[in-house]
Amino acid sequence: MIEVIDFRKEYASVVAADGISFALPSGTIGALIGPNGAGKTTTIRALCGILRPTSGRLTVAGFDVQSEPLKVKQHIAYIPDDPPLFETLTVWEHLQFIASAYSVSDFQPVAESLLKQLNLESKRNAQASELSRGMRQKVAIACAYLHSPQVLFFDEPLTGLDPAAIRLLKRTMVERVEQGATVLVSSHLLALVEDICRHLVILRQGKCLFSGSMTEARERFGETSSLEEVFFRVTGEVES
Amino acid sequence: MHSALWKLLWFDFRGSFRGLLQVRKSWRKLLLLLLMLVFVGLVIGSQVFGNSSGELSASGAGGRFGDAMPFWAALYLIATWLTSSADCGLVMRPAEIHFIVAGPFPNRDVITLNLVRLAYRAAISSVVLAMLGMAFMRSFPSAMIGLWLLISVSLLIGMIVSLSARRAQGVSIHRIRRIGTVLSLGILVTIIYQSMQIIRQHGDDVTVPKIAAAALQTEVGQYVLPPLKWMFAPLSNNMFWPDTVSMLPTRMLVVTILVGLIYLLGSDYLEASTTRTDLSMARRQSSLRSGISGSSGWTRRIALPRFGYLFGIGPIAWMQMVHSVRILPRFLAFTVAIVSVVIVIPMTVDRQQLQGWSGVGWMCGLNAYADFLLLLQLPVGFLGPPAQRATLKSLPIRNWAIVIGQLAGPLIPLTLMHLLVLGLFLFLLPQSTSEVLQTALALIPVAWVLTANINLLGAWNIIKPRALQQRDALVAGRAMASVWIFFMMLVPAMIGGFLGAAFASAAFGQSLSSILAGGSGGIALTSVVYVWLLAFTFARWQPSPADLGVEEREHDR
Repeated sequence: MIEVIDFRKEYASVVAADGISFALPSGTIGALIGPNGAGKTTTIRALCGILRPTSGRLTVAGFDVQSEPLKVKQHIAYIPDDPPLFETLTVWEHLQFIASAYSVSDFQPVAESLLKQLNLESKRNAQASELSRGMRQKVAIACAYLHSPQVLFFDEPLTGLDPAAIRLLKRTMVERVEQGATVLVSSHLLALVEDICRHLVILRQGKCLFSGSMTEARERFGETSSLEEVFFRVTGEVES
Repeated sequence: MHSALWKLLWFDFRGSFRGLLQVRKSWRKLLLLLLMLVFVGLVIGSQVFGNSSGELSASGAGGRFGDAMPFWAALYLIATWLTSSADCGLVMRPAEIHFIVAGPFPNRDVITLNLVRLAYRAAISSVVLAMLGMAFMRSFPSAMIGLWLLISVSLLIGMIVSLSARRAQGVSIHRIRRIGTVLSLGILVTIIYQSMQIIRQHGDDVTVPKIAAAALQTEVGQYVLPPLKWMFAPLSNNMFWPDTVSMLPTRMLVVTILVGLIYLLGSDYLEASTTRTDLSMARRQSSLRSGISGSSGWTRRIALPRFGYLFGIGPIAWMQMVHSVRILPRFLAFTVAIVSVVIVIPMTVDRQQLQGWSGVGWMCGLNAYADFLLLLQLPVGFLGPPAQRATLKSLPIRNWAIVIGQLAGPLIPLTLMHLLVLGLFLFLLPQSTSEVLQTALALIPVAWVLTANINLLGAWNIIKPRALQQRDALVAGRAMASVWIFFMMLVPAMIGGFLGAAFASAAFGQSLSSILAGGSGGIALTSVVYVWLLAFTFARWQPSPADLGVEEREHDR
């Protein structure tokens, strides 16, 4: 469902991604982890068609990101860590806009149920500028779920969410995967990764150090069942 | 002051110098800098030529400015006292609040740090402003010192007013501040009233420059304004030596007294700075996210019906139009006020000049200026926050459709503006209704091209919304250069319009309707170039490393 082959991204003097390759099968929750500056956001943005790769091949939902970007975008949703909402639009208007942009017919019932599920009913007519950080994140998630995408990209999704919302988000991610979607989550929170992810991609300084299932990771770097240990062994980082 | 704070000041100075040197790495920034230098050079050049031909007499520009200067200085200082930006001297960077206010530094050191930094900022601004002001001033070093004094005193007064309004101060200080506010306003109104009386007694028309020049002769002004005239005399001094230098130590003594007042009132300076910075940051964040600060009030109730999909143009246009309508009132009022003062009032004074082709010219000029000013204010389309471009880029809609949708954003504001202008000219020229209506129709493609051009420069990060409202001289200089580029970019549209008009007049005769139709047709055709360039730019656009996630930002630094 998601395939990255020898992905490279350069900015003038900085190499943000240096030949990253990995694959994430359908119906899986995958985690993209790595220290700061590893290239996680760059990889996700390139997979969403927002960044142009310098070289390499990226495939999402069976479509090549560079040659068929619109088809890719039709089947994905991207939730950044600080969602740039349209500040003067209300929560409901955001859903209307997304429904219109993705040509979702009869979106109201789905939108209503998303508002209820994410506890946004009382904020339905509130403008984005009036929402707290966590509420904004919930609106972005509602927008992402509205068109039932086949692939979901989350970049640090738990930033600003309260414990109840974190639990809710994790549950909805699992539900989406059970319905056949693929989810790729970039996060520093290894507990989240350990909780819900079945596939692991570890990046460091723009390179992919490991890609495989959690079981494989533990078998290869294990002797311990802790993901934290695996992470430090793979990245070679020293605990402070 | 603590040695670490001096070190921080040095790092800041070095950082700003490095930033200036790095301009060479971006061709756009370099172009803007060159244009700014050309602009300043032309201003100074015109002054040099003026001097060489002996055009400026003792009672010339410098002399007139000298008479009016105390009034303008008083107005500026009162405005600083009264406006919300009065305490801008208290705003620090969040990092400074984090490391310095919360750090091991006494209150006194933090005040000193801020004062030194403000003095430096005032010096930079006064150098640039003095260069720009050479057309009105005679001596560059004198002008520079005069401007530095004016900026510094205004910042100090702002800080004093803000600190004296804090709860930590006693009742007597609050009373003194309130009395000062009422008194200064009362004095200003009285001076203006008495100035108008003096002008009328001389049988002259009352104009703003004449009020300013006569203020010094009024009964109240002759007691209140001379201290200001003395304090800021370097602004209108002819000679740096001895005029400016001889009294400089005394003037610096006044500045020192104001600084002393800040130390005296600054017992809760740290808290005041933190509060003011938090407020400023909240506004800035809101402004960065949406292009506006604060909530949009009653306009939030305004809604528009959704449009059809139209290749993806519909949803984008709807979203942008809702945004533009909800933020419109504040920008429309500002634009109408500026356009009225600059063009409408002078134009209506002598209606004779509006007859025939001249009327068409005035209508075109007024409408284009109003469109330009309004578009420059509205953070809509590609003048909106760059972060939203990534959201748009992730939508399953073609780039050209997103561009056209974005361009449709200011449709309602521009329609309102055109209707206002149309109404004005129908009122002014009741006998030329047909010509006015034809001109109004011909101006529609002009608005379209202006919108496309300003969005193109927004997408290239050359024009930024509300850039012309900056108080910082360097940013204002950059904005002026960007406006130059805007006009240069209009050349293809002007050529198109001229060729269209020439063709139409050759084919259908030299009537107003054929020339207007040909001209607007030519302009409409050239709009394809702007839209294509914009679509090409957006297709190539991608977030810069600085716009990436937090970790990548750290990596880049």
